[in-house]
Amino acid sequence: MQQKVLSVLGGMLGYLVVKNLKNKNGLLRPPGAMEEEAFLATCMRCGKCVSACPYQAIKVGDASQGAGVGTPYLAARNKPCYLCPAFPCIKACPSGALQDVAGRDKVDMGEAEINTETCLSWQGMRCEVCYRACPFLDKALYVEPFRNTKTGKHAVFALYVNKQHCVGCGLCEYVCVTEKPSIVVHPKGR
Amino acid sequence: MREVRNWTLIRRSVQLLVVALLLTPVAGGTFFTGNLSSSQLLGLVLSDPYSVLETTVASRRLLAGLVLSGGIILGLYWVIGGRTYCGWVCPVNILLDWTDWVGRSLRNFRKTVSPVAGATKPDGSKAKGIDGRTPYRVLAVFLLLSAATRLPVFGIINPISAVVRNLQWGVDIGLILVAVLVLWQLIFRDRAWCRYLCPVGTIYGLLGKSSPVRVVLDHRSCTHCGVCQEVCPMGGEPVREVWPRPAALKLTRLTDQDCTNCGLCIDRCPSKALQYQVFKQPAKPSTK
Repeated sequence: MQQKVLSVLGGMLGYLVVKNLKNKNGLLRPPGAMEEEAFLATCMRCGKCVSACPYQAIKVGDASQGAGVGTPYLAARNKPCYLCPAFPCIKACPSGALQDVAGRDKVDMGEAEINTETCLSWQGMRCEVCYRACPFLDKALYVEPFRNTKTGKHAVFALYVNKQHCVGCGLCEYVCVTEKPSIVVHPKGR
Repeated sequence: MREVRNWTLIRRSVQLLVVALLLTPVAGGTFFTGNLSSSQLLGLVLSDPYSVLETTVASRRLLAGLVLSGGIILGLYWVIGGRTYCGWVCPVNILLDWTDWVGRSLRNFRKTVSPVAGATKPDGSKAKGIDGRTPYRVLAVFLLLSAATRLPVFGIINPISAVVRNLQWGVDIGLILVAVLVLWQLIFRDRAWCRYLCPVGTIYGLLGKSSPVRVVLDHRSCTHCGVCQEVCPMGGEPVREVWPRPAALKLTRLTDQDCTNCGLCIDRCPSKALQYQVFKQPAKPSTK
């Protein structure tokens, strides 16, 4: 009797695991993370990178993450990655799921994207808070003004993301003044 | 060591110290970080051998540093008895011990737990039960699934990880897995997770067969009262296995891979016929 119940339970569990194989939400991983499939295979779910982060920006995935339960991720809007030059998170990783990076500018966590309809700068108001927060000022986030045709006598100091330089740290998303951030980081395409 | 008869108190203290240790990184401590999957103690990286195995299989990469960190733990547990992890470190064990206590207090359960299939019962007959090869099959299935899905499958559903993660970072729905274990144990009065399913324990159990630290039974004092097999959380098999021995053999070591060195049999034996033994030192007979 026990053996039958065990087999049924085992089958259900197996089905659940296989069904939830990929982590659905496209999470932002710590710097140096391998591409998602390799990351999920290599991460030991030990939490050492979480403890190592001096800003407590890295969080632990809970059971709602499916196969990503226990894996580290960042919610940039809560706390972005400050790109510590020593990368204590990468040093703490025992399995190499977080790999060494050559420098802060070589990190590849994702890319920022501006919502030009809600962004205050794009509406013709001078905001540029994200521009000043960006660690790669004028490289990853830059300003290119154009004529404000609505007023006829002002410039719109429009902001653009340079995908080649943006590392996806999320500092821009963190500081954006609109209630729903007008600039968000998309985790790197897996 | 011979005169200690409350190993449970010592063992529970060690388990609670382990829980406290696991909480230190959350409180800001840096001398210890990580969890039971992989940790770092004063700069030394330590990893659970099964987790290392599963990650190696899932990632298809042989990671030298990781394997070394698993090897250190393998060596350590070989010295202290193999499945001692289960009895002295694993936090799920605290919960399941407590479940046993609740189950006993409720009184309306079958007296016997299901023994390993083929085991000899005290009356000499063979017992039916779950096949003794089940833990190895389960281990193989988890590894095969991990290779096929490129995910550490056991690591994802592991209730030990769920408990530690919930202790360290907050409660989540993963505790349902633990609830299932507890319910199973209450209904079937069988520590099925530990005995048949947990591959972590299976690996440690294999280590324990040759470990220097084991429980030993002194046949000169044993009266075959059966209390030891009643209290054994692993269904009594480790101690039942060494009962039928000729009287000429005075001492027999319990080498069964299910024995977690929990010491309950030592604590409860009315004739003090059981004790821990290190490196086959001859045990002195108990004074009656």
